[in-house]
Amino acid sequence: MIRCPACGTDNRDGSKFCASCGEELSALPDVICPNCGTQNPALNVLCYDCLSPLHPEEEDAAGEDPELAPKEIDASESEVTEPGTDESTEQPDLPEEEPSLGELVGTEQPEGAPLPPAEDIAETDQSLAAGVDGSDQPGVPVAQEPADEEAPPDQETEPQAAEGDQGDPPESAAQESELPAEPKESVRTELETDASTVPEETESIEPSEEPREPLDSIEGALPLENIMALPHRSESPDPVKSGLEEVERATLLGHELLVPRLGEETRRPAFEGRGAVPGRGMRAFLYILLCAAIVVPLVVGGHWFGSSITPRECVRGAFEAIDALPSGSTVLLAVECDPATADEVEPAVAAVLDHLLERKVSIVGLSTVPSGPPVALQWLEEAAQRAGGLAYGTDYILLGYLPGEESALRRMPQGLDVVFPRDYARRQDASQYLLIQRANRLSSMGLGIVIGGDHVHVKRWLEQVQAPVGLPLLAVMTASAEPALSPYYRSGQLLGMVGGLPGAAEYEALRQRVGPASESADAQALAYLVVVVAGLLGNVAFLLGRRKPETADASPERPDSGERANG
Amino acid sequence: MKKVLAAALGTLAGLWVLADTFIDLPIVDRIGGILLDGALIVAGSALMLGLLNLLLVHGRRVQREDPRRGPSLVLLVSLGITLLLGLLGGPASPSFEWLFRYVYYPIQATIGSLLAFFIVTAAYRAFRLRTWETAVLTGVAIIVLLAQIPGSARLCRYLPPLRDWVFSVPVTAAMRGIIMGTALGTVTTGLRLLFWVDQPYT
Repeated sequence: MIRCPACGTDNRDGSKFCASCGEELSALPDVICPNCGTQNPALNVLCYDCLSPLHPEEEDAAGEDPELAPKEIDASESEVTEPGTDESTEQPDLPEEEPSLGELVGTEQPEGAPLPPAEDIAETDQSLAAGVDGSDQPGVPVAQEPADEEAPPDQETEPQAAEGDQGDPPESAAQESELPAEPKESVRTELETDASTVPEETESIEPSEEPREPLDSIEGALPLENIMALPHRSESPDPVKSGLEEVERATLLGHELLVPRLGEETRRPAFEGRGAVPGRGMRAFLYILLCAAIVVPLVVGGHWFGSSITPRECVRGAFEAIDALPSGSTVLLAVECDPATADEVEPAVAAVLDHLLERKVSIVGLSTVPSGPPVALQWLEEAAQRAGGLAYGTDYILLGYLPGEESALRRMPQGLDVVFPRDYARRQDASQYLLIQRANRLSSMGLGIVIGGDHVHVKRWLEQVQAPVGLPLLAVMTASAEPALSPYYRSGQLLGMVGGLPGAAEYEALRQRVGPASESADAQALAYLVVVVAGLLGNVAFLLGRRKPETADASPERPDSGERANG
Repeated sequence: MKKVLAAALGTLAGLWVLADTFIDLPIVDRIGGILLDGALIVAGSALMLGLLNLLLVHGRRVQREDPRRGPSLVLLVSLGITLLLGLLGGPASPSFEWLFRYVYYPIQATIGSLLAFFIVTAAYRAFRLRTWETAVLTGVAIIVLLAQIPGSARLCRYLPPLRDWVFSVPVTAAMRGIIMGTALGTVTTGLRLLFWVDQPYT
C-alpha cells in the first residue's frame, strides 16, 4: 500500500495519484531506511530490504500530534543524494555522525528513543512556523538529509538546535526575503552537491552557509524540484549499475526457467560433443531418405526381399494352430487396437482372417477398446467380401464394445449373450443369432485370437481368460509388442505370435500367397536400413564432434537424452 | 465413520471377487458377478464423465473467448456431429461408418505414421558408442533391426538365427523378470488396499 503524504490515505501499490485527495504519488523523492540505510521509493511504507517502517516518526507522532505528521514527511522528503556510490555504503555510518534534519528540528525521533517532551515539540513547531529551518547548518538543505538515519544524536541536541534556531530569526527573515532568487540556486546547488560531501556538510550543527531548502517551512508544499519539474536527485544514481543488476537477474531467471523448457536440442552436454543433436540439414536428409526408402519400392515394385522370407517359429505356431482347427468350429476374435495401430496389424489380420474363413471357421468378434468395434467391423466385412458368400450372424458376428477392461474379461465366462445383450452391427438381441446359440460360452470356442495394439491388451486376455478358462490364445500384434510377449510364447500360454508387417509377410509366405505385407516387404526393409544408417551417421557425427577425452570421461554416467527417448 | 464404511465395503468387495476365483460356489459366483457388473457400470459411467468434462472445459474456453477457443470450437462441433450421427443411426450406420473410416481412421493412422520419423531421429541420437554398455545396446539393436527385415537372410544368413537367440534367451529372461516384478508389485498393492494400508478412495 502507498500512503499519501498529503492526506495519509493508503492507496494501492502502483497508484500514481491519491484516490482521496489527488496528490501525485510518484513525484516524491526516495527515502532512506532508518534501519539498514537502503534507499527506498518514497511511496514505500516498509523498507523492501529489511521491512522496517520507513516513517517511524510519522507513526509515532501521528498518535500524539497529528499536525506533526505532514511536517515530518516534508522533512523526510528531502532529496537524498544516493548515487549508488560509496555514499550508499557509508549510509549506515551516516546516522552516527550526522543527525537528520528531522531530529535537529525535533520532529523526528531516533529509533527506539522516547518521544521528546511536549515543550520541545512546541518549540520546534514555533521555529518552523517562523520559517526557521531546524538546522542552520551550512550545506544542509533538507534535501540532502535522510530523514531516518540511524543513531541520531541524543535529544539534547534537538532542543539546542531548536534554541539555536530561535536565535536566528533575522537571518531567516533575510533568507526568506531572498526567496524568489534563491530557489534555483539552492536547488542547483543541491543537485551539484557531491555525495561525498554530504556527510561533511551535515556533520556539524553550525549554520550552513548554503541556503536552506525554500518552502520547507510551508506545510504541505512540494519540493521545488517537483514544482519546477526538475529531475529528482534520486535519478542521478548510476543507472548502468542498476540496469546491470536487473539484466543479471533476468538472465539468471531466464536461464533457470527457460532453458529446461527449450528442450534437449538447445543444450549441448559436454560429453556428447558437437554432433549430439541432428541439425536441421541432417534431419531433413534423414527424413527425405526415409520417404524415398518407403515410396520408391512401392511405386517401382519388386520383391527382392519379399521373395526370400523365412517364417519364424512363433509365426509358424500361429499358422499351425489355425490350420489345426476343425471345420465348423468357432473362434473368438478380440480386436483390442485403435486406428493408430490398426494399420500396422491390418495385413496380418487380413491374412489370419482369410485363413480362418478358408477353413470354414466362424468368427465372433468383440472388443474392450472403445474404438475397436468399428475397426473390427471393417475388417470382418472386407474379409467376408473376399471370401464371398458369408452371412452376418451365421458365419461371423460382431458383439461390440464392453467397458471395464479386466472386469469385463472376468465376466466373459458367464456367457456372451449375458455380457453382450445386443450385437454391434444390427443392434438385435444377441441370443437370437445362430452363431451365439452355437457358441455362447468361451469353453465352446476352439481358439481365441487377440489383436493387440500393444502387449498390455494381450496380457489381459492371458491373465483373465487363458489362465482361468484355458482358452488357447494366439496374438496378432504390433512388432514392438513381440519382446514383451515372448515369455508367454515360450511358456506355451500363447500358441503363436504374428508381429507387425514382418510377421504378416511370413504368414503370407506360409499360406503361399502374395499379400499386402509381401508386396511392401522391400519398402519395409529399406526403412529399417534407413534407421540403421541413421544410427551409424549419429556415431560418425558424435566421433567427429567429440570434445577432449578428459571432458568426455569426466561425466560418463550422465544419461543420454537420446537413450531416454529410445526407451 | 464414512471413511471406515467406505474402506470396509471396498475391502469386502475385493475379497469376495478374489474368493470367486478360487471358490466354486453358486452364491459366491452370483455375488461376484454382481460386483463385476457394477464395475462395468462404473467404467461406462467414467466414460460419460469424461465426455461431460470435455464439454465443460472446451465449452468454457469458447464462452470466455479464450485465445485457444478455435481448436476447442472445432472439437465441440466434431463431437456434436459424431454424437448425433451415432445416436440417430447407430454406431454401424453408413454415415457413422463413413465418418469413422474416412475421417477418424486416416487422422489416427497419420499420427501413427509420424512415429517412423521420430524413430529415425531417435536412432541418430541413441545409438552412440560412448561406453561399452551403449556399444552393446547399439550392436544388438542393429542386429535385431536387420534381422526384422523380411528376407533378412539375403543380407546375412546368420541374421535370422541370431535374432531368434536374442529373443529367446536374453529378451525372454529379462521380460520374465519384469513380469515377475510387476506381478509381485500388483499383489503388494492389492494387499495394501485390502488391508487398509492405502486408502486412495477415502
